[in-house]
Amino acid sequence: MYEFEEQRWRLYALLSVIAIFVLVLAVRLFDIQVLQNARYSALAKKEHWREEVIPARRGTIFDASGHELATSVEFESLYAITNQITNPEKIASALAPIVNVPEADLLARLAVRQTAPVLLKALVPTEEAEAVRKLRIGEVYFDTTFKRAYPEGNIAGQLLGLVGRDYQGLTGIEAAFDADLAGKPGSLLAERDTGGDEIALSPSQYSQPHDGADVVLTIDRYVQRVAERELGNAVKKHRAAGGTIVVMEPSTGAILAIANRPTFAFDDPNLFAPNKIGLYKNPAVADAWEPGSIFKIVTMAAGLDARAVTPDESFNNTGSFAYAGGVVRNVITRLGPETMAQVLQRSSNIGASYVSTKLGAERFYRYVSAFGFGQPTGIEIPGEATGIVRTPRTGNWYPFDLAANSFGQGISVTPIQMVAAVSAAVNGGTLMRPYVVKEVIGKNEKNGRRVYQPTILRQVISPTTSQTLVKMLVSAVEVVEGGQVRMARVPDYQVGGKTGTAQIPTNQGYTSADTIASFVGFGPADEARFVALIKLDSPQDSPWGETTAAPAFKNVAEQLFAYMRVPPAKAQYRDGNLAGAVSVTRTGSP
Amino acid sequence: MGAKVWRHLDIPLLLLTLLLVGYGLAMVYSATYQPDSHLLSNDLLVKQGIYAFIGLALLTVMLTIDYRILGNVAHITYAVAVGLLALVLIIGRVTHGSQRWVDLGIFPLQPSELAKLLLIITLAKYMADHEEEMGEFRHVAISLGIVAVPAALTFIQPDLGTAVILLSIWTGMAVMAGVRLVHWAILGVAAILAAPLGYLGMQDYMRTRLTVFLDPQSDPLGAGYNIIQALTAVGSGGWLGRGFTSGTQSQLNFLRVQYADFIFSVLAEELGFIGAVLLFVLIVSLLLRVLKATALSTETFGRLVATGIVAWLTFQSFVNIGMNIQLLPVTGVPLPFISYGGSSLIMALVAIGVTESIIMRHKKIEF
Repeated sequence: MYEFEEQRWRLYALLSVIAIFVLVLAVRLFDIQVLQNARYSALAKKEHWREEVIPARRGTIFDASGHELATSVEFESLYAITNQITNPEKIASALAPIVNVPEADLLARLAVRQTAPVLLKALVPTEEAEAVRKLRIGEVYFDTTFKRAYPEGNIAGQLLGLVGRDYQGLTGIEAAFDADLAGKPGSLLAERDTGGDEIALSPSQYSQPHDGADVVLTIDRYVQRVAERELGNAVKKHRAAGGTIVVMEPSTGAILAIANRPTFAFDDPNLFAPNKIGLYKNPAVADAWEPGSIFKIVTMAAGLDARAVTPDESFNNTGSFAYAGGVVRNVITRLGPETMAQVLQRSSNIGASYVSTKLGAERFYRYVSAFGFGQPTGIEIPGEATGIVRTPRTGNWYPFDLAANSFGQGISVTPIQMVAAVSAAVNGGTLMRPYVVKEVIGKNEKNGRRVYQPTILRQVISPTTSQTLVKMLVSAVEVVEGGQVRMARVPDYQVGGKTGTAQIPTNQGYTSADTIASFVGFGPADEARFVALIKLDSPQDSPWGETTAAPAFKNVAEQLFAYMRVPPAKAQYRDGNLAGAVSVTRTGSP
Repeated sequence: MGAKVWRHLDIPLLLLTLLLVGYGLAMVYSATYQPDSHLLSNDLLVKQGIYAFIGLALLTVMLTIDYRILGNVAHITYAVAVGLLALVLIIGRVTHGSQRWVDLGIFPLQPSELAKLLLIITLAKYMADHEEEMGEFRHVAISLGIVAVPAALTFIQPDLGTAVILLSIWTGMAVMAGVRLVHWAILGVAAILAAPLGYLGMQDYMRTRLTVFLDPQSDPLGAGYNIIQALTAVGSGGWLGRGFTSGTQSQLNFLRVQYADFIFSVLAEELGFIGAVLLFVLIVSLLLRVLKATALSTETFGRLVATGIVAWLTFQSFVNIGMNIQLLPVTGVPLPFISYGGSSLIMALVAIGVTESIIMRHKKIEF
């Protein structure tokens, strides 16, 4: 075919353009369809499979007898799918009177055109929700959410802890047991079109939510209420900056109450304001202080148990005690012979120093450590402090510290440590691990029930020493000296205990006029059902533990005796005779 | 007309055309699929079926007409093409921000679709008439001028895609007509120099499309939306696709106007890489049959018309598929035979009719 034959290359040029085009398209197509298929499939899935989270019900926190302290209440929230709404005015005017939201507000929210649902009102009461449902407005719907509720009101705030807006435990038991309480949210995976509508009859994957486990505390709501009330009264009466009450069952280590001031209210709308953050921690475990004279219980227990001193031993109080370059004095000194019981009755610093120095540093600190000081108790509450115990081994220790530590200076402890140590001192000498959670009750087989038993940590002192110490501590409450009846005394009952008035150390030494007044006591004397520590920070009307914390203890003890149905006892210790105290017999059991 | 010319009727070309039309109808059906509705209640499918019928009728008519007659009316076809393109600017209907349709009452006509074939005839006539002089730059320039007028008119519609296709048609035909290498070089340099001017002359939407093409995520819910959706649809197709009428991206309306310019995405998502390759095979086979007309034809006009048709279908398919897989910027160009649209389908079928006419009459003398 003539001249065209020579120009066949033009045909081939066109052919090669076609070939190149096909090759380019095929390579590109192979790349995205075959090589990158997984990526694009995931993208497509993400786009039209919407996952809806079905919240799990957060578990309830119960007190020891099954009363709800913190629980989850189901609420409904009203949402609108605004991009489907054609008559926002009509919907707004219909809803406004029912849900008590101004019509203009509703209209403004309905005007936001978006695929994602718009919240019209959170936490709609049931009757309002029912009324809205009766309107049968297709573009609005309810979504179930949970809200934390506190049936017992604002008690044990720091202990229970806070739940954040995302329903996660932030502090306290809520945080420590979050994994149990939270449960596992379920999900509904459904295919949706561009309007966000679920596609009828399209496959959907539903996974059921697993409700959170319940947590049962050792806390007794009545004891907690007593502690809250008496602490509140004492703080108010003595114009204290704050305070703590811890009540423990000495035979088991179970915590019956932990109250703190200042505290927060669960229903405070500004609960998450920055200035409230300081209130979230639990001072009963998180704050250490120099305990002062209540620490003499530990000193005396150590001295007696190691037989460094005997119960009947007395020494000559000369008004001062020089030791290792320092001098110990008493606040009020009675000169002359002083028995070991009188050391506690009179809260003699000289006497305590006499005991600790006779014991020697090595043995003294061994007992201090055995009683659990300088180490966390292991209680379930987060943020536990250890306190500071300096010993010859830790360095930064001076020989005079042996004397000062004996009456609670130069050493810091947490309230929970103190209560646990005193419990050990009076329960026969066994240190129990303080615990506040006695049960976790899971809702399914996989996450079943866990029961926490009392844990014996160690025998710190002998039962005999413990008995002797109990009698001494009872005498410290019962003995009338100088015509002054002890403020902690509970009429018709036998309680034991010890006051403390601790100076607050500053960088320049003990310069502050403020004190931390405390009382740690127990009752009934023959077989203690509770050990209670009352601690008041900077009381303003009187600095003394005897006049501020001791009366509060008396109030707490009185109510606990009644609540625990402890029968009244005969007054066997009131003559101040330790020999009489030693022969105490059980007055019967409930 | 002698009955002998029917001996040369290219049956494979007709079969390939019917297969492509069928493939297209199937895809339009799938892209507009409504689960519970009857086949005939699908408005777009019924319309496309009617267009296919009209197109096939016109194809048959074209078989009976000696294509050479078209050359004699080349100046008329050109006037019609330019006239319609001018008319659409005056009385055209604005859809998707562009003035591309003239409402004919029963059916909106898209003159730019008509213009392609009409221009091919005009160009073929001019180049054939000056066959010996195409080595002269004057004729290169004039032929370029012939295409420049309709290209400019489509450009200001605005329809960048069709303007580019018109220029591509000219390029393909000019290669076949024997434009000299040195003239190509001059035109190349001129094109490079004119590129910045072209960019400045672009409508805002065109620039947006360019920017978005380079980075669809810059506007994922706006201009980049369909690019991302198309890519997602195609990419999730895999080897065999999600199944006919089961493409989630396209069926759930994530992809917009999926039955028209983005129908390839539907095809690739539902029928996968294999389905797309099948389409390529059909299109390329058809193009090879049209190229056969180029090789067979013993006279320049027919050869050039067939060349123009090949260039047109090749470039338009490439541009359309390219934009579906983010290889090229988005332009409103339909996929020949497959996309929904009357003007496009009918004109493609008419072009096949013309090609057949060329093949049937390639022998100068029938014995």
